[in-house]
Amino acid sequence: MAFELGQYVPGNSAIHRLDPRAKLLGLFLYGLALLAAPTGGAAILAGSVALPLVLAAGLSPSFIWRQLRPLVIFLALIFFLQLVTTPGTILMHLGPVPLTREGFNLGFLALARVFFLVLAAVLLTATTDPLALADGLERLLAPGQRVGLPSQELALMLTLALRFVPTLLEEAERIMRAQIARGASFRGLQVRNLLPLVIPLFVSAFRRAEGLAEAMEARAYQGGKGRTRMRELNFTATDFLFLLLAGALAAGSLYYRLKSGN
Amino acid sequence: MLTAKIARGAVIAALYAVVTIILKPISFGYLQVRVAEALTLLPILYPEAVPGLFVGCLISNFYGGLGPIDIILGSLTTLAAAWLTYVWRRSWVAYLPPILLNGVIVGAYLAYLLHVHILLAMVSVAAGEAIAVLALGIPLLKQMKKMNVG
Repeated sequence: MAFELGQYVPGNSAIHRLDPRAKLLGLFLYGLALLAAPTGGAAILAGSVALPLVLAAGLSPSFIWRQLRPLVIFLALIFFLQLVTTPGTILMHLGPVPLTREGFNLGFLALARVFFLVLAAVLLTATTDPLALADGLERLLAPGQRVGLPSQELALMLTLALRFVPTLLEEAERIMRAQIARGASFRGLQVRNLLPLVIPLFVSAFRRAEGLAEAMEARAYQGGKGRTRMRELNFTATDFLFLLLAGALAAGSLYYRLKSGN
Repeated sequence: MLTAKIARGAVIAALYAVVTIILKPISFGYLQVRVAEALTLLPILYPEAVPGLFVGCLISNFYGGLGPIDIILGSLTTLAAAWLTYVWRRSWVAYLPPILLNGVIVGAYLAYLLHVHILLAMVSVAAGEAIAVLALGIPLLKQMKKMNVG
C-alpha cells in the first residue's frame, strides 16, 4: 500500500504560473459562485468555467478521474436521495417511487456543487507546489498579525507539517507492516484496532519534533521576522485579470440568485 | 511561540493529515467518521495542539475535503473546538466542543450544500465526531498520559 498526500503535478502552464494568492482567492470566489447558484443548471454553468482551466493546466482526464473516483459513490448517493425524496411535479416513476422535476433539479444542484468544488480544489493543489501554497496562505494571513494572529508561526507550522507528512506516511506504513507481522489486523477498520498504529506513530512523531526543535535552536532560529525566501511571490497583471474574472463569476451568480428570488 | 512548540504543533498537524489520508474512505462526505478527529482531544495535554489541529485540518481539507467551504469553515471550526477543549481541559466538558461545534457548523453547511434536512446533517456529523472522539480519542489520550509521550 502506498499512501500519498499530494497530487502536485509539476508543469509550466499559465495556471501553474499564477501567483498562489491569486489561485487561493480565485478558489474561494469560485466556491462562492457555486454556493450562490440557485439551480442545478446555474451551478453547472458556473462550475464549467473551471473545465478550460483544467485543460490549460495540462491535467489528463485519467488524472482527474483518479482524484475524483473516491467521490463517485458519495455523489451518486446524494443525487439519488434528492431524486426520491423531493416532492413536486412528477416526471416519471421508478417502481413505486415518483421522480419529480424538482428532485432532478436539486439532485443536479447538489451534484454539481460538490463535483465542481472538489474539482477546483484538485486543480489548485495539482498546479501549485505545496510550499508555494503555504507561502501564499502566509501572505494572505499577514494582515492578521496586527490583531495578534501569529501568522508567521502558523505558516512555519504549515510548511513543517507539509514536510513531515510524507515522512510520517512512510512511518505509518512501516508500523502497519510491523504490527501485521505481529498478528494485528487493520481490516474492518475497528476503532480499537487503530490504537496499535496511532500510538507508535505518535511516539515517533514527537521524537522527530524534539529533534527538529533542537536543530532549529542550534541554527539560532529567531522567529519569522526578517526571514528571506528562496522564491519571492510576484503578483502580475495576469493574476489581477484572473481574480477579476473569478470575482465577476461570483458576482454574476449572486446577482442571478437575488434576481430569481430563491 | 517557542521553537519546540512550533515543531510539536507541526507534527500534530502532520499526524492529523496522515491519519486522514490513511483512512480516507471513511473520512469525507456527509456520513463521515473522520478518524483523525480523535486527535481533537490533544489540546488537553498540549496547548500547541490548538494551532496544530487547525493546520492539520487545513491541509486535509485542501487535499481531500469538499473544496473551499471545507477549507475555510471546516478548519475554523476545528480551531474553535480545539481552543475550547484547551480552555476546558480540566473537565470532561473538554470532550464536547469537537462533537457539538462540528455537528452544528459542519452540519449546517453540508445541509445547505447538499440540500438535506439540517437536523439530519447535524446529527449525522455529530454522531461521526462522537465515534471518533469518544471511541478512539479518549483511549488515545489515556494511553498518551500513561506513557507520558512528549
